[in-house]
Order: sequence, then structure tokens, then C-alpha cells
Amino acid sequence: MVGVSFLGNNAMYAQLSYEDATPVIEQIGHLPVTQVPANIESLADPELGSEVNRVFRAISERLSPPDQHFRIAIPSEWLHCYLLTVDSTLETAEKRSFLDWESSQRLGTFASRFTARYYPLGERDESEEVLAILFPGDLPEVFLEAARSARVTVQSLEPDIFVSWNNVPKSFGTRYLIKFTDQTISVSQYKAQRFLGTGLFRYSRRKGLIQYLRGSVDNSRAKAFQTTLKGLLKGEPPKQAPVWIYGNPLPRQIRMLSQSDDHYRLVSPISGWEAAVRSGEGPDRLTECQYAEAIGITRI
Amino acid sequence: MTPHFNLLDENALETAEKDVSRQQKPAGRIRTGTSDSHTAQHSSSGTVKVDSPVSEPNPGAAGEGQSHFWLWLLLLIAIAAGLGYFLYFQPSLKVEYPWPEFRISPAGIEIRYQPRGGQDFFLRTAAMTNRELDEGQTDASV
Repeated sequence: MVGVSFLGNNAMYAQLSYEDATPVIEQIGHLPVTQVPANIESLADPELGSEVNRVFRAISERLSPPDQHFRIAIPSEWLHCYLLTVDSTLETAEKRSFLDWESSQRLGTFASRFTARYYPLGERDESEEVLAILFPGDLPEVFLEAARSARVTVQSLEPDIFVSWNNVPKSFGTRYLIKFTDQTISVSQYKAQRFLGTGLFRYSRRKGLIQYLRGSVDNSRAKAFQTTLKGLLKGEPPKQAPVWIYGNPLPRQIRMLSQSDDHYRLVSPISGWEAAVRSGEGPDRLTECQYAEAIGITRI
Repeated sequence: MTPHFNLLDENALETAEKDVSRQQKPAGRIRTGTSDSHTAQHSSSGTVKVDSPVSEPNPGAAGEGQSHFWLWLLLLIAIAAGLGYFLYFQPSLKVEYPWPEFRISPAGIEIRYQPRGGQDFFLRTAAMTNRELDEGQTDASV
């Protein structure tokens, strides 16, 4: 099984196998990418398919032993994620119709360009919480077509924030998961393993600006996320510790904090496993967190 | 087992519904809302198509009508309890001023209000003269 993620200007990959239910990382690595869009507006670029195809071919050539089963982590910059609540007593068709209506209200005039997937999260008091993931056009088909040309099989396409969360130790408390790229920061909040919401922020390192772009949270929660981020970049301890961090590149102050302050923890996809990297040297902790998505998506 | 949200799974909602444990519903339950009362439509591929986004009330919102009913009922009970308290247990707050007097006749209408310690207030229609009022003659034939 091969996990692939797109992190900034790199495609990260990790090849895993299982020996008596024990995961073994055969190898990890990365490839530079040039035509992978950085935001949702650029996804219509026809070059995306050929670039993904090139990445799949290049990874396939490096795999040893050969492996055709790929799992892909999709950047949250390409998606809209919402938490919706629906009457659980409705029939499935009505429920879906209602969820479509709710989604369309959030997307406004752009709704017709998006495709929706709905994932039930649980029921309580005759209401059901549903995770709605919306993506422009037929994004899965781009990956499936690229995979067919490269003679590999795409088993799953999943949002990055959820697959990286698979690497965080289970806990009953509140946790933040924060992903840094060179232009964006995504913040996700969990409590007792329950997903509470996510927010995507535009980040300017040079100006130090953090601007809320979109997410599943209301304005007050987005403001709280923004405050947490600003405090984090100033080196202030978070109110609801700890904060789990990963991404590439990490801001300098974050790298320093992760080594000195226990409130800030780098996502460590390999350390928690009884796993070993068979080929090549094992990565250091700062490098290891860049593989949080590629390894997280292979977790069963 | 870690949760997976696979975008290739087009029918995650339907798959969950097929789980028998989730499909048990009490007999005779009245559903809230219908699917044809708004403008969104869903194609077989899962694309959200919107004819005209409008902000009408959502028919399928979980427990919407029921929660509003209890909210209003609670509000009414609170207002009634507060009013009763001030009327019956706070005599100092009772209204001590008399009600206005109304005199209605074919000649016109007079409203007379005499607050204690305050200035009298009269409102009368033009057909009534001061004389008529002073003499208590309100019959139109006079």
C-alpha cells in the first residue's frame, strides 16, 4: 500500500506493508511537483491530470517491491468541509436533498460547480451529524484517469486533515491539529476523538498576516482559531493544550517551540509505531512530520 | 479503527442507512418537511445543482419546529409568572391611578382622566360643549 500526499511543492509518499498485522514502512520519499494547484480556484487547470500521472509513474518506478495500490491525501485547500445537522428520521433521499440544500446555501452561486459527499458522524436526539465534503468538478475522476494511465489503482481519496489526525494519540481532551504550508494554515479541532470543526487561513509569513478563508466553523470559532494561531506564532502557550503541528515549511518560531515546549508537539507518524523504515535512513522529527498524511492514510 | 472519508465512496450516506441498527424507526412517526419544498436537486453523480439559491426556511432541520414551540412556551410562562409576581406580591408597584372615565352619547365622546395630584385631562369631541358637560346633559336633543 502506498500513501501519497501533496504538501506545497512536493508529493510525499510512503510505502507500507504488513507482516503479521505489524506495519512496516518499506520506504518514504518525496518528489518535486510544479503543476499542482495551490488553491481551489486553480483546480480547473487541465495540466493537473498530467502532473498527477507523472507523479504516479515516478513513484511506481521507485517502489520496491512493486506496489499498485495507492491512497491519496487531498489538500484541504482544494475542498470545502462543513458539519451539517439533519433530522435523522428523514428518509435517505430526503436527507440527501436537505444536505444538498444546506451545502448550496453555503456555496452560493458556485454550488453548481461542486460535487458533494456526505459522511454520517453519529446520531443524537433524533438529529444526525453529517460531514459534508465538497470539491469542484469531478476531482476524483482526474486522479482515477491519471492512475489508469500510470497503471496503478487509487483505493481512496481523503482530505488531508483527517488522515493526518490518524497519527495523533487517542485522547479524551480537546486537541488542535495545525497544518502549515507556505501560503496557508489549516486548523482542526477535536474533542474526545470527535471532530468539532476546521478552518483554513491564508498566511503571509513576511507580513505576519492570518486571514480566515473558509471552513466548517462559525465566525466566533474562526476568531478563536485565529487567536490561537496568532498566540502560537508569538510563542504563547495554548489555552487547550497540547497543539499538534505538522507541515512544510514550518515557521521558525514553531520549530523552536516544538523542541522546547511540551504544549506544542510535532505529529510523529513513525515514532508511535512498531514500524521501521527499511530502506534509507530514518527521518528526523522535523522531516518525519511532513509524512503525516502519506503515512496516516495507510492506517487501517 | 481510524475513520476514513473516502471521496471515491459516492454513497457513504446510503451505505450508513443500510446498516440495520440505524434504520430502525418508531412506527407512525411524522416526518418533518418534504423533499420537494426547496430548489436544490441532486443528480446521480452527487453534484449539487441549484436552480435559484433562496433563503427560505429549511424543511429538514433537525427538530426545528419542536424546539421553537418549547422555547416560546417557556418564554410565555416566564412572562406570565413575572407579571403575576408584580401584581400580587408587590403592592407598592400596583397602579394606583384611576381608570379614565368615558362618556358616550349621540352628541359625542368624552374621555376624562383625573390622576391623583395631577392635572385633569379631558378629551372631547367638538359636538359636546362645556356647558353640556357641566350640566350633565348629554342627550343630543338638548
